[in-house]
Amino acid sequence: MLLTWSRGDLLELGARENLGLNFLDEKRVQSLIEKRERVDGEVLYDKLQIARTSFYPIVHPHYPRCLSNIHNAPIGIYTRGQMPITSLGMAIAIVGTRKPTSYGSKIAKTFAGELASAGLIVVSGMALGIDSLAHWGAIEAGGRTIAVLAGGVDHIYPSTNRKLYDRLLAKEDGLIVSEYFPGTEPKTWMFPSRNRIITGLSNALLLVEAGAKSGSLISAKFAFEQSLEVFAIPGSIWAEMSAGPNDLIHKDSARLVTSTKQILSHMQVSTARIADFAPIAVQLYGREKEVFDRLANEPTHFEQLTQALEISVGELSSALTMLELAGLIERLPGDFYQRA
Amino acid sequence: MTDSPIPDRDDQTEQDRRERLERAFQARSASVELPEVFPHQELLYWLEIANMGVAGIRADELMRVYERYGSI
Repeated sequence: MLLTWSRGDLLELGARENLGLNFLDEKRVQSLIEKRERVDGEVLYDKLQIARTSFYPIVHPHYPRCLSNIHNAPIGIYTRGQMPITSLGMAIAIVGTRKPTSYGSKIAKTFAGELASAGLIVVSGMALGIDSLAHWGAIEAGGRTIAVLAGGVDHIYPSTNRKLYDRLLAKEDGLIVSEYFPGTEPKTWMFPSRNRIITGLSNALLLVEAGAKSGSLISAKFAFEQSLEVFAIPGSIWAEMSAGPNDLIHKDSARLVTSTKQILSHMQVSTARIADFAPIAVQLYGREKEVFDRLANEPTHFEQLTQALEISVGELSSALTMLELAGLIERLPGDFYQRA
Repeated sequence: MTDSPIPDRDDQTEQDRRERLERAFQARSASVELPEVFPHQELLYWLEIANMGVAGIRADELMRVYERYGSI
């Protein structure tokens, strides 16, 4: 409708107070009308195919639910790589400076490896330094890792990370994610914004090394706002690259950790959030949705359903069969049905 | 009860169910594509919306439209 309805109809929709669509004001409807003339979904889709990129809008059943819950969630995400988006699970963001010390480098790679070996997906931004080391640590440990890029999924940034990028695409243990269409060049303002996706895909964040004004602290802020567990590696008070984590620890904004065991132990507490990553296996529409919505966990008789839904026996039978095939409902003796 | 050319509803339901199960089984056996998870046309709509700079409309506002109309 936003793409097909007339200007007048959209304005009328926005003006009807009971619909809660009052954002459809004169200015935005005008903008919508002008912009929709310039885009063509089929053309965009063809380009995605050429770029070997998938697109998941926020209402797609495979769009990570944890990401849809964050403030200012991306309208859609583009992915490239072989890791099935339906297989996402517990994840930890590992972030830090682009210029780590040998101490930070060793910790990033070792911790990423151990956490990935434990089954966590390591999420980072493919930047130089801690990000890259975290990705490599996960890969070399045989674990899984996701790189969230600031530009399009085909825009390798920094270009010196070509080897890592290619490796992420080569096997099912890697995935590239972006909120921008392929070909989009990263601009400075996109990097902080990208960090919300890194944390949005994760259950916890580990800050390894970061200067007092590092962009990684923005990730830590997002993590804190998104109620993620935030961990920080302490460092010398004389070390410039430990100023960020030391400060977070001092302010009680992060939990001091010195081993992956501590992280895993704390994350056990928040494993309830793992359910957020479970994709909805089937998206229902039409009659099947109506029938499924009507069914409860208690058995309901076929006749009750026909009466409540006011649909024909044939339509109901058809919908029930499809739901049963999808494993969403159970058929019980006596023509009763309930959610599986 | 008199003989009726119309099968009893339970029988028909059962028969219908068996036929559908059989068709579904054959479809899977023949590697026929399963129904799409997300309608293609809907995907194109969202693709367009995502690439319009969204005309100043936020994702949560789009969601409101979607929740109300099941489409954007």
